[in-house]
Amino acid sequence: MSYLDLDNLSKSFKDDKIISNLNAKIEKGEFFVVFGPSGSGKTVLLRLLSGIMMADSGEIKMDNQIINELHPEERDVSMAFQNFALYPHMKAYENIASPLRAKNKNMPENEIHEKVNEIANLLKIGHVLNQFPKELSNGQKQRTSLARSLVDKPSVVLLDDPLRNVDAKIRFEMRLELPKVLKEFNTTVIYITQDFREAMALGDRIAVLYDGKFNDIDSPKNIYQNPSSLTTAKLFGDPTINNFDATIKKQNGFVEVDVNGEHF
Amino acid sequence: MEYDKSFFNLYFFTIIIELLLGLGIALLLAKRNWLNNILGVLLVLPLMIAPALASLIWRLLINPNFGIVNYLLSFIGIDDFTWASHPDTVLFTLIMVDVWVFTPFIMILLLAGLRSLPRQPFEAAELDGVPEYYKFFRITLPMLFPFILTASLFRLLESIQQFDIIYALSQGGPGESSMVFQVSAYLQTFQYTNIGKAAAMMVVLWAICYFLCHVFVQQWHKLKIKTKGELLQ
Amino acid sequence: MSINVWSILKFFAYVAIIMFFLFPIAWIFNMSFMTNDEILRKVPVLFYEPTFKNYIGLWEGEIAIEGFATMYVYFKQNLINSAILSVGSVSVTLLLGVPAAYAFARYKFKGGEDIAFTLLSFRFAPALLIILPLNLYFSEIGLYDSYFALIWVYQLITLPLLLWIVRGYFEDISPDIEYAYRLDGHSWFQSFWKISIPLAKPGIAAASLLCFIYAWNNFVFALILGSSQIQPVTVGALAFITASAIPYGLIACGIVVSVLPTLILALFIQKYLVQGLSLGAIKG
Repeated sequence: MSYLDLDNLSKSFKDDKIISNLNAKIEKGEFFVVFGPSGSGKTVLLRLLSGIMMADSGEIKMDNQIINELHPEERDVSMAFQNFALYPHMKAYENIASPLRAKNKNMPENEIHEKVNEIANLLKIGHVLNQFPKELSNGQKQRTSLARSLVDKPSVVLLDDPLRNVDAKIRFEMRLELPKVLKEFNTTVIYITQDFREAMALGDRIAVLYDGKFNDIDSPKNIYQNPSSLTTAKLFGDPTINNFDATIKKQNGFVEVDVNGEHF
Repeated sequence: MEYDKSFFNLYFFTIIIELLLGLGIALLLAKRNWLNNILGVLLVLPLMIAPALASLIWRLLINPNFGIVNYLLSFIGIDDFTWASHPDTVLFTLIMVDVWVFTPFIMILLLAGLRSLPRQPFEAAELDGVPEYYKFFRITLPMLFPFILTASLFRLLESIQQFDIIYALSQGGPGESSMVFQVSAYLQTFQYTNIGKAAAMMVVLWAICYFLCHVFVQQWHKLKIKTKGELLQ
Repeated sequence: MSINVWSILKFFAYVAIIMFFLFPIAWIFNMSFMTNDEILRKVPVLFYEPTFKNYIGLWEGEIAIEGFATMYVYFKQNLINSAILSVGSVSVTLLLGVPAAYAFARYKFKGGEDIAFTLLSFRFAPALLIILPLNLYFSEIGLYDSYFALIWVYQLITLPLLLWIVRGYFEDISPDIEYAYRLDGHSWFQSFWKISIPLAKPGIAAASLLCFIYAWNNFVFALILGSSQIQPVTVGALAFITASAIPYGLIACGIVVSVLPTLILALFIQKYLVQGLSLGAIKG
C-alpha cells in the first residue's frame, strides 16, 4: 500500500493546463525525485502537495486520507523553498525553531533548544544560530531552510530545487550529504530538480514531468537505459543525445537500417 | 461663476511657480554635503505646518502695525504694501503663502528623484565633454520628468480644493477678489443657507478632481514601476 | 572669473531660500517670547529679555493685561482636542487600514483596484462636497459635535494615505515567507501577525505618523462639523487671532505650540517622508 497517492491531479491557470491528470504512488521513506525542464509545472505540483494551491480536480491521499482541502498548517508536510523563504526578522535559531513553536505543541524551551541544536549540528550550522538570515551565506541559508523543514520530523518533506541557488562547490557537497541526512529521518522526500545529474545521484525513483504529467516513473538506472520516450531520453543527457530518423527493415534475412538513404 | 475660469489660471500659475522654485532648490541641494543635508531636512518644515496655521503665521508677519516683513521691505523702498487687505494684492499674498507651504513638497520629491537618477549617462556625458546646459536639458530633465509630472499632478489635485489658506487669510475677500469654489460654497451654505447652489458647485469640482485623480494614479503606477526597476539594477 | 560669479549667485540663492522658508518660523518662535509692547514697536527689537509669560498664560488659561481686566483663553482645550482627534484617527486608521492594505496587496480580487482607487479619490475629493451632506446628516442622528463623528470623517484623509503606503510594503514581502510559516503549522492569522506585520513595520510606523500629521493639520472638517468645545488647534488659533485684545505674543505662542508637534514628528520620519508623501511611489 502506497503512502502518498496522487490520483488524476489537475491544475490550470486561466486556459493553461499546468498539471493534467497526474498520477503517482509514493512509498513511505522513499526519496522521490521529480525531474522536468523549467516551466513543466514542478513548483506548481509542490504547491498542490503543500496546500499553498488547491487542485482543480483529482485527489491527494496521504496515509489513506484525502488531504485535498486541508490548509497548509493542517498537513503533516514541510517544505524547503527554492528562495529559502527564511524569516528575515528572526535569527537562524528562531527560524529553525518555528515549526516546534507552532500551535498545539507546547514544547518546553529546553526540548526546543535540544532539537534545534541537534539538527543544526547535523547540517553543520551550529555556529550561525545567532545570526540573522541576511548575515548568512547562501549555503548557510539553504542549510537553515533545510533544518527548518526537518526539525519537526514531518511525514513528508518537499524540497523545491534546494541546490539551485547555491554555488557549484556547495551543490556538489550537498549532493553527497543530503541523502545521508535524510536517511536518518526516515521521512518521505519529494525532491524537485531540473538537473538530471542531481536526479540520478539522489533519487530512489525518478519521475519525469512534462506535458503536465509523469511520463516515466522508475529507478534512475532504468530511466537512463530504457527511457519510455524520446523526450525523456533527450532530457537525460548532456550534451543532448543524438537522434535521427531511421527505417528498419528486415530484408533477405538481414536487418537493414536506412538513415537518410544510407544503408547499413 | 465667471470668476472661476480665471481661478483655474491662478492654480496653474501657482503650481508653475512652485514647480520652478522647487526644481531650482532641488538642483541647488542635489549634491550631498552638510549644508545641503541640513537644509533638505529644514526646508520640509513649512510643509508640515497646517496650511491654516501657516496663514496665521504670515498674518502676524505682514501685520500693518508691526509686521517684520513690512519693516524689511521698507529697506528696498516698498512702504505700506497692502497684502490681503486690498483686491490688487490679495492674490499675490495667497500665492505667496501657498508657495511657502507647498514648494517644499515639490522640492523633496524632485530632490529624491534627482538623487536616484542613474550615474552612467552623466559619466558618459562628462567623458564626451558635453556642456552643462546641454546635460541639464538633454539628460537631467527628461529623466526627471516622471517625478515632475507626479508631483505636479499631486499639487494640482490638492490646490483645486484649497480652502484652508484662503479661508484663514482672506475669506474670499476683499469683496469677491479672492473667491474660489470651495470658499464660495462654504459661505453659500453657512451664511446664505443656499445649500442647493453649494452642492451644484461641489459636484462640478468633484468631477474634475475625479478625472484628475485617475490621470494621477496612472502616472503614479508608472513611476512606481520605474523606480522599482532602477532599484533592481 | 565666471566661477566666482556663479558661486556668488549660489550664495544669494541660499540666503534667499533660508530667508523666505525658514525665517517666518524662526520669527514666530521669537515673537512668542516677547511682550506686547516689544512686538508693537515700529522698529523690531532684536535684543530683549525673553519672557515665558505667554506660555504660562496659555497653559493656565488666564492672562492679566495692563489696563484691562484679566482675560480668559481656552486654547489648552484646543490642544487636548487636537491630541484626541489625531490619536483617535490614527488608531482607527490602523485598525481598519492595515488589514485592508494587506488584502489589497495579496488578493487580486475582481474590482479590487477600483476600490483602492475610489478610496484614494476621497483623499482628493473636495472636502466640502463630503462634509456638507454629512453636516445635515450628523445633526439628524445626533452625531454633530462629537469626537466620534470627527474621527470618523478624518478617516477620509488618513485611511487612503495609510492604505496606499502600507500596501506597497506588503507587496514587497514574498508570499513564500508567509507560506513557509503556515507550513510550519501556524494559522493564517499567526502568519499575518508574526510575519507580515513585523516585516511591514517601518512602513506602518511611517504611514501612521504621517497620518497623525495630516489629522493634526486638518482644518475644514472641524470647522464645519464641530463646535468650539471639540475644535482642534487649527480652528482654535483662527478664532484666537480674530478675537480682539488678545496679546500678539500670546497668539504667536499659541501658533508655536500648535505647530511644534508636527514639526518634531517630521524630523523623526525624515527617512520615510518622501515615500509617504508620494504614497509609496518613490523610495526615498
